[in-house]
Amino acid sequence: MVRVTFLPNNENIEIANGDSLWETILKAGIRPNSICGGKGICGRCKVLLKEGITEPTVQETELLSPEEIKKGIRLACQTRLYNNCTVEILPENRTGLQDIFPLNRVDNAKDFKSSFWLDANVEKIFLTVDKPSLLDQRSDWGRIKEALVRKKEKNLNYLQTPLPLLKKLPVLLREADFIVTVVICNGKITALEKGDTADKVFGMAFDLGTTTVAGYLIDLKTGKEVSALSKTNSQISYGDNIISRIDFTQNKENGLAILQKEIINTINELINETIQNTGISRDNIYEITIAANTCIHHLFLGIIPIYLASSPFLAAFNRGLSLKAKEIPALYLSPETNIYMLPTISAFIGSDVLAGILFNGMNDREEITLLIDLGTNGEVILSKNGELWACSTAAGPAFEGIGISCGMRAVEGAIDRVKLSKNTINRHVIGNGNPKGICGSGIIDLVSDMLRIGLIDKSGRLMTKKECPSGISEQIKNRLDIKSGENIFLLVKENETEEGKEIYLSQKDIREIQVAKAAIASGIKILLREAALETKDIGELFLAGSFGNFINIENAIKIDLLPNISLKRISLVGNAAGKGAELALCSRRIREIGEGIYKDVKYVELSTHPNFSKEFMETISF
Amino acid sequence: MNNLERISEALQKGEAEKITELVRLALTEQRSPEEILDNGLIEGMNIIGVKFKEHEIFLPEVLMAARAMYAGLDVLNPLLAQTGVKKIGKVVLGTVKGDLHDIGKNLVKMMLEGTGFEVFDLGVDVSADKFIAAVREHQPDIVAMSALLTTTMVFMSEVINSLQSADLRKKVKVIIGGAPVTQHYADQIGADCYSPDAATAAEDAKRLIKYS
Repeated sequence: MVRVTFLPNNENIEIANGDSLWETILKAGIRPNSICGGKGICGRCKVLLKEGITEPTVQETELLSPEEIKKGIRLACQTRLYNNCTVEILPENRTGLQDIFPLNRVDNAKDFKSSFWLDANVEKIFLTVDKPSLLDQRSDWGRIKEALVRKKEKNLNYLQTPLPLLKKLPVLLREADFIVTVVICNGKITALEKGDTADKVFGMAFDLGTTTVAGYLIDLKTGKEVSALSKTNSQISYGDNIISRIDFTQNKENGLAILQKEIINTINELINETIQNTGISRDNIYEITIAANTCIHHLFLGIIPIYLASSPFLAAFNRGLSLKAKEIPALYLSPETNIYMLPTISAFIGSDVLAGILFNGMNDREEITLLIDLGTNGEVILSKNGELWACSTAAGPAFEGIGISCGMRAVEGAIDRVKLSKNTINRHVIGNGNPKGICGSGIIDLVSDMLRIGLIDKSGRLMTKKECPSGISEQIKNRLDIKSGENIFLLVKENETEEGKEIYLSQKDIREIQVAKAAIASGIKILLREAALETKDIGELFLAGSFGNFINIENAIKIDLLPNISLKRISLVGNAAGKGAELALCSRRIREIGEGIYKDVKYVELSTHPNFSKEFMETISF
Repeated sequence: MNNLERISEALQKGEAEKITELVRLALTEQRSPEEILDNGLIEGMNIIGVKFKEHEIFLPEVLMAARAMYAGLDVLNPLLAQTGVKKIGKVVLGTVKGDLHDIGKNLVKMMLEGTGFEVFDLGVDVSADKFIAAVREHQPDIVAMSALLTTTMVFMSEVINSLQSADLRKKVKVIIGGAPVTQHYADQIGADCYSPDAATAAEDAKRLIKYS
């Protein structure tokens, strides 16, 4: 046995000789940073070995600097332990998993555009059931049904009653002194509660993203959103992108079960936090709806996702699915709670996109609308008179701040807005503290302003100090520098940052941005062409994505990320997927619409599209 | 500046029409097609390769340069064929099965052609069988494979195994590349070489066939 001590908490864990430190860390419940999911490619899972320092592996010598290796820094995924050791996981190399963030709440009644939106799949009816006597020997169930008919004045013969409920019925009815509330879901009686609980009808809507999971608690009697929380998807330690996770299910024993458990844990934590914050009982959550990208959708259900990721790219199924909480292992809800999974569209276009279409009512808009979801996959959806086209653009995570030298997600410490002129530079930091890095919206602002004043040329080349155009003040000019042989623009000096490391944008970062924006812009162009439309025909553009709320639209147009249309026609819709899942929770009609349209969305495969390379090359410059 | 230097410069700027003109001009100066190719076009393409590697220029500029290179080659190729100048080697190139990415692979193709190789491009989503068939048909010096996905790079090892069982492995050198590929992976699956970018791939290809 080998003993591993984790600093700073001095927690001990015992493992078998030769076990991997990566797996030990995961077992200890710590979530290291990772892009590749423990394959020794990304170099993110750095740990500091204080005792029991191991010999560096080939990958470690490639990915770590000589100073780091000398200090005892190793990659967790490359380290196998044969001696007792003490390990410190550096704070910047942990993913912020404890972070449950409240989301901005909205007034659904105002926000949801459909008039028929409140039509929930769950109904509760309070009943005063006739007490039995020798003169009234109807069965327990018979008298409940009669009370129901009396109350609802309609024939309820179709109502089924599951056996588990019938088992509880005689005792429960008497304990409740024949005063009960009936829960009807999916046209079946699913629960019987003592007393009058008719006003406690809740459901939760979830949006399962690759990076972030959002959970919303809805009062199904009013449609009101009671709570909205988001949390990092714990699967992130197994790779920060879908491909790495699919790979994990393919190459790791139990990989699928591990990833399924992680997403369920994430959902459980959101449920627990929601319950704690609101004081609502778990038993009063009767239904949840789930929108997700197709990979996470499959992982949640425990379906092997590997065929999503290689040609010809197929999902196991697309249609909507109703199931019970008890069918999902260790999901912390009452066993009979209904789960509704919205339909997916294709291997790359998930139910999150369908939810976005439903939320924005794109299926029945007369005018031409475009929905852009600025996530890692950057989905684009176009509608024309109810006809729908969709593509997935593989934009990469650059706009989420990932893969950029000093990039980070839009959380505390991120520079989210920048204003640069020839003489001055201003920035805004989320939380108003010292900056730690720059997030997508800040990058868009910075690149846009650097283009405007000529620090970046049309081809995307960053000027050197020598090439700096005239009229730029010394103060700004001196920010053009060279770091490890590469041209950079220094945004924040090291003494002004939280971690004492300078924040800059490098030439390579600009190239990453160019690829990401060209992917989205060429996706838009190709969809427009498929529909025989032009940019000017776009009546309304919905910009979705959790970071879409902070983005400066004018700057996004200037760098050609968004098409050049009037600002009035662009609306930020926030997490459209989450809102669509809420809508599906509140409205059976919306579900029917979703079930009706998912097959009709025309999926356009960009990677084999004859115009893709051409459009991509045309949009890659500024 | 002589006309060969002008050709190199025009190529770097992506000026296809000017290249056609300059190549013709150089020929009237009694320069040999080989000299124009080596000291004009290939010289320019090498500089492009280095600048791309260092992020100084980007995909569109490389494509423009490649277009200019092909314009020059269009003039030179008939003459090179006449004088019986041989390509420096043959490469069978493709993106592996399940993977449809071709931009990186196309860059490699251009750099190889710019360096003087004859390239048989099998396209994307290429199965092991297709690689084997192409090796049998063209008898290349090098098989070059690209993959952009961690889920598809495993097919590289399948191709190498197929080469082995078809008794062709010893007849070719294998170069692999693509975002998720590493030197370690190349060692693991028994490839001869891992190239991190298109320019390096062309250099590696020359090194592997011991051409200098």
